[in-house]
Amino acid sequence: MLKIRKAAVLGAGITVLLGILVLIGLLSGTVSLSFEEIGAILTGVDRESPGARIVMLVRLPRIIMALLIGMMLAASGTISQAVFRNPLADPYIIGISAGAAAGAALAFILNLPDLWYGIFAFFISLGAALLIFRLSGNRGRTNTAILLIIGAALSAFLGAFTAFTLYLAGQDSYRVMIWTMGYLGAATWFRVGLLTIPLILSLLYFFYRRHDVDALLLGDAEAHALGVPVGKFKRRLLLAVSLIAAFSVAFAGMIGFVGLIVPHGVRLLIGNNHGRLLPLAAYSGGVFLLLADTLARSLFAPAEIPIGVITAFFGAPFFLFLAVRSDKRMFT
Amino acid sequence: MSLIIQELAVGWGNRNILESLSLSLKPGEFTGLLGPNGSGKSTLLKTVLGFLKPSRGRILFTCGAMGEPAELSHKEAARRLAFVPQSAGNTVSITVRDMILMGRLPHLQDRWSGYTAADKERVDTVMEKLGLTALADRDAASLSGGEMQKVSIARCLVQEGDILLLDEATSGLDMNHTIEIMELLRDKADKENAVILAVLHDLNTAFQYCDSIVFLKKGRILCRGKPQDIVNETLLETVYGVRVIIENDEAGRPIIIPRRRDTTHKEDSKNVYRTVQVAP
Repeated sequence: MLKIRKAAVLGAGITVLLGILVLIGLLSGTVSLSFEEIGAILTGVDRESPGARIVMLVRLPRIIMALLIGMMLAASGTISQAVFRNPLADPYIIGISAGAAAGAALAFILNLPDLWYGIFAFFISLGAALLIFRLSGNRGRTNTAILLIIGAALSAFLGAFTAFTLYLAGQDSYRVMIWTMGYLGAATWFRVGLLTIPLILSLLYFFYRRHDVDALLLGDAEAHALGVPVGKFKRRLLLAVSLIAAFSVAFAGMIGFVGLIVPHGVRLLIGNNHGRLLPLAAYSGGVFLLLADTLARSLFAPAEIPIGVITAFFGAPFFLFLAVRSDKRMFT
Repeated sequence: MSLIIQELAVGWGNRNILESLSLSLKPGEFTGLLGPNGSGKSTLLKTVLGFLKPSRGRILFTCGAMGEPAELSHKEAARRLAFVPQSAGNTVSITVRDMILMGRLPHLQDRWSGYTAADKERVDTVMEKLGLTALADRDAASLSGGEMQKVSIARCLVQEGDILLLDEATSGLDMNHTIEIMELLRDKADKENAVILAVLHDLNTAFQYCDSIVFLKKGRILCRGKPQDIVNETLLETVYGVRVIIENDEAGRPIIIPRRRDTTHKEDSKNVYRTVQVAP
C-alpha cells in the first residue's frame, strides 16, 4: 500500500512540474507573450497573429516532442533493464542508440524523407539489440562488465559510421553534429505524429505484458516455470525497445542517460512492479526531458545548449555511481 | 498427476550431465533427490520443468489413473508444475505480496485487467499459512535468506501445481524453518496428492520426510527406494566419499552422523582418504 501511495504522490508532483514547465515553454523565448495572449491562442480566439504562429508551430510542438522523446527514452530504458536484469542496460549505453544514429545518418546521406530516418534507425538498432542479446549470453542476469564492454565496442563501431557521415556531409556537417548532441528545435506536428505511433504501440505492448516483465526479474528458469517463453519474449521486448529508441534518436538525436536516471529514480521510490513502474517512469521521463529542454533553452538564452549536453552533465556522474555499486545490488 | 521420465539424457557440448535416466513418480509421493555437488540434480529439475532441452529421452505426465502419458505444452506445464529455485540472494526491489502474486501468472485470464480479486485472496491465504502476512508490504530486497526462501515457496504454493519441483528449498533456513517447510510439503503430498521432487542436501531431513530417495551420481541414478530400505554406510561412502555412523529412529528411519576424517580414526586416516579417492 505504501508503494501505491508513493506512486500517487510522485504522479501528482510530476503533474505539477509538468504544468509549470509547459507554461514556461509557452511563455519564454525571443518573442515574449503574455498569459492573456497564450490563453487566446490556445483557445483558438487568436489564430492569425505572429505570436499564434510561434506558439502553434514552434513552441507547442517542441513541448510535446520533448514529452514524447522523454517517454520513449525512459520506457526503453526500463524495459531493457528488465531484459538484461541489469540497471545499467540503457539503450544509449549498450549501443542500441548508436545503431539508431547510424541508421538515421544513412538516411541523411541518401537524402530520404523524414519517415525513412526512423525506419533505417529501427533496422540497424534492432540488429544491434539482437547482437547484444546474443553476445551477452542471453541467459539470466547479464554481467555489468560484459554489457559495458559490448556497449563500448558497438558504440565505437557504429559511431565510426556516423562520424564518417559527418565527414561526407561537408557543409551540412554542423546540422548532423547538432543532431548527434540531441536537439529538439526541429520539432514539427508531422514529426510529433510520427513519434506518437511507435510510442503508443510499444507502451501498449509493454503494459499488456507487464506481469511477464515482472516475472523476468526472478530469473530465466523461474520465469519459464511461470509460463513465460523467455527467449522469444525477450526478443520481442527488444524489438519494441529498438523501435522507440530508433524513432527517438532519428528525430531528436543522441540524448543520453534519461533511460538510466529516470527508471532508476522511480524504481527507488515505488519498486519494480511494472504495472506501476512503466507508466510512471514513462511519464516522469517525458517531464524530465521537458525540464532538460527548458534548461537547454534558458540557461544561456538566447543561445541554446544541445539537450544531450544537459542530460549527460547530470547523467554521467549518476552512471558512474550505478556502475560502481551495480555488481553488489540490483534493482534496489 | 504422475511424472514419468524416460531414458533422459542432457548434455552441454560433449559433456553429458544426465545419462539415460528413468524415473517415475506417483501422486502423493514425496521424493528426495540426493547426491554430491555436480551430480546433475538441478539439471534434472530444470529439464523436467522444460527449461533445459534433453538431448534424448522424454518427460511425460499422466492425468488420473487411466490417463495416457503425454507431454505437456509450456502453458499447461506452467499450470501443473511449480518450481522453487535455489536461494538466489534476491535483490529485486518488489513487495513480498507482488512477488508471491507472480505465482498466479500461469492462470492469468485477461492480461489487460491483470490479477483478479480471487488471485489476491489466494495470496493472502498462503501468506497467512506461512506466517508471511506481516511481511506483505515489505520490500523483498530487504528480506533475510530464510524469509526469501519462504516467499519463493509461497509463490510455488499460489501457483497451485500438482507437481512441485524444489531445488534446495530449505538451504539457508534454520532448523525451525526447515521443519516448517518440510511439514508443509509433506502435507501437500498427503492431503492434495501432489508429486514432490525436492533436491535436498541435508540427509537427515530428507530421510525424515521423503517417501523415497533417489541417489544421483555423475548424472546417473545410483539407487532408489525408501530411506530405511536402501541407506547404509557403504552406499553413502560410495555417493559422497565419506564415512558415517547410521542409527535408526523409532520408525526405523536412518539418522546419519558423519565421522571426522582425521581424529576419529587416526589409525586408519590414510585408508579413509584412499577410500575417498577410489570411490566410484
